[in-house]
Amino acid sequence: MIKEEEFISLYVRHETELRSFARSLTLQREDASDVVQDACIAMWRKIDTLESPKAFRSWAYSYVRLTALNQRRKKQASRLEFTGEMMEIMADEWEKEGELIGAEREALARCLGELPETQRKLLGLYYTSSKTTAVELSERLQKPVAGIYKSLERTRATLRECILRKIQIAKMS
Amino acid sequence: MSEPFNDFDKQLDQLFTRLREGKAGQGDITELEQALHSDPALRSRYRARVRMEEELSAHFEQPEEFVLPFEAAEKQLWYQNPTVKLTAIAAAIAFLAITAIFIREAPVVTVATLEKGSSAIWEVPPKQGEGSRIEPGEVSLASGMAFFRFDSGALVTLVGPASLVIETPMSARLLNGEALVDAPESAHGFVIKLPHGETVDLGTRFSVAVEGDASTCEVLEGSVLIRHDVTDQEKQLSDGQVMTLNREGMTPLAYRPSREFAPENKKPLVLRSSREATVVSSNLRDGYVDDRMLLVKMEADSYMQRRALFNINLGDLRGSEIESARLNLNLVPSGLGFAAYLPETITFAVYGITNESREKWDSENPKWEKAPGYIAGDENAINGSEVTLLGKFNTNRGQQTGRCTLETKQLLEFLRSDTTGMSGFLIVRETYGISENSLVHAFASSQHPEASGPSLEVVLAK
Repeated sequence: MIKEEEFISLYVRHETELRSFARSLTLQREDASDVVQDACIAMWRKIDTLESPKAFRSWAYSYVRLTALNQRRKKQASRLEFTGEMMEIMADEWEKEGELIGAEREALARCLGELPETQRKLLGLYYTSSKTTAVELSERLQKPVAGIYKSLERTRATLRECILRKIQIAKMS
Repeated sequence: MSEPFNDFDKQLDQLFTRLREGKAGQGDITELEQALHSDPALRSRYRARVRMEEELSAHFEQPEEFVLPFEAAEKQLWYQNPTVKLTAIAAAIAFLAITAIFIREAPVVTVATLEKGSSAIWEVPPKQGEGSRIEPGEVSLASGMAFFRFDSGALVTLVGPASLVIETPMSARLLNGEALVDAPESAHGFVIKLPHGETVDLGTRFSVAVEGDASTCEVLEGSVLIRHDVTDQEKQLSDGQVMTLNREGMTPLAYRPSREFAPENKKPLVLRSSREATVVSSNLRDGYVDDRMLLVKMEADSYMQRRALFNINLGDLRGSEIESARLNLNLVPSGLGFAAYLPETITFAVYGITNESREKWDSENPKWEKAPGYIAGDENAINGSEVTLLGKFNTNRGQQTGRCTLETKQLLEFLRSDTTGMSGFLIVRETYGISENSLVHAFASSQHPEASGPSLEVVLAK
């Protein structure tokens, strides 16, 4: 049996991963937040079904997955979404990527440290809030909006390539 | 090589931007789903992109953006069951307490002062400048010296290249390089932790040096207790005694070996730059560049930005395994611009040219836009598909001479992955000047009359 404090600690540790998982199914960030929030309440109510901390990851995934599928059924037709079939495929494949997720996270932290200062600062400004847009940054930095879009895109491409490279090197060693 | 960032990634990146800005439509999603449906590799790339987006948000988002799920729990359960309600509130409180650990700004604890008069070129500088109070954490000196006065009274002189983790007023961990400890009576018991042991001051002046697996301690005056953490061996050293310590244990030495003398099987090969150039964003050369120097400058809107390029021929090493490598650069005065228009700390980045077809730049009349790392339309950015970051180092505003060294894993990986027998390097100043008249930094080229040009010290595995 897991104690409440232990559950909270496990939840905090896995929150970003669960949020990413939900986002891969719902596409929109706000929807993913709702899913994670509802899933967390459901988990809290069923805390006694979690047998050990080791089982937390797959246990929590099943709640997020179910909540996302339920949310899809309830959503208005106008909302953006994958089909239920795609959500199922995506969830199945995601759950097999446990090791990769950890390696990516570690590599991303190192790659962020290797970015030139200007690119890291721009990323920081953009991701400070989920509401920040390139247009706002363009006004704030007095730079053309197209340049901001390009710089952000290039920086993310650099990060992605850096992550892949580091994972590859780690595998080789 | 890694999978390149292809058209799918680019379209996906743009879709995420549209989603964020509320500009995406169901048509976009249907199109994405069609592409994902038939291709597991694209699905894998999609999931990786989602993870990166969320990790970036988690990394940079302000604390107030954190969602506390139990606030919602509280609302939902309020009218249902008072017992459950209390549990939920208790959980919310506990959750807040735990997240507070992550969110709350920790009170600043300082344990030492970085004394003035250091001539340090930093790889990892302390958060605060000279004369400031220092928080626990790692510092790494590329060259020069830095003086740390611990609050216990112990004075630790770090001699670059060296890395030190400042822990408490009474302890520090030497990761590599050399440190000199001068401990007054108030600092008796001051500990320097080493890779396989530690030294405990018993009222003394002593030096410690860490190189790879081995540490050496020499007592200059007084006495020191040295401990080995695997064998639990302990030995008290006094004036003039020297002890070396590695994984296996401790061995006394008759004298301390020279730091500069390399054992025969570890003698480095020294390779020097073969082609060198400075590129200027305006492409003006006369009066703006000088063959004797490799110039670097970063400005927000200047036409006089400069970046330095050089190649080092690795042909002789072909077929040999490189065990360690160190890149040396010598900072020299350029006589261009003013240091007063610079911030306190200046950061330089050294990149390796990974796109090997770009190693053949024109050294006679090099053009800014033809240089590796250039991105059209963004003079300040670096093209990560052509170059890779090997490391960074920092100098102080007033510093215009001194040796800068780079000895990183990335440098070693870069050299080991070479397939052309030629390695290309790009040096960029990352720090912007306060005005466009800021100092232009210079590193000696092979033509410099006093300082030597870029060199690579390479130790080959036997």
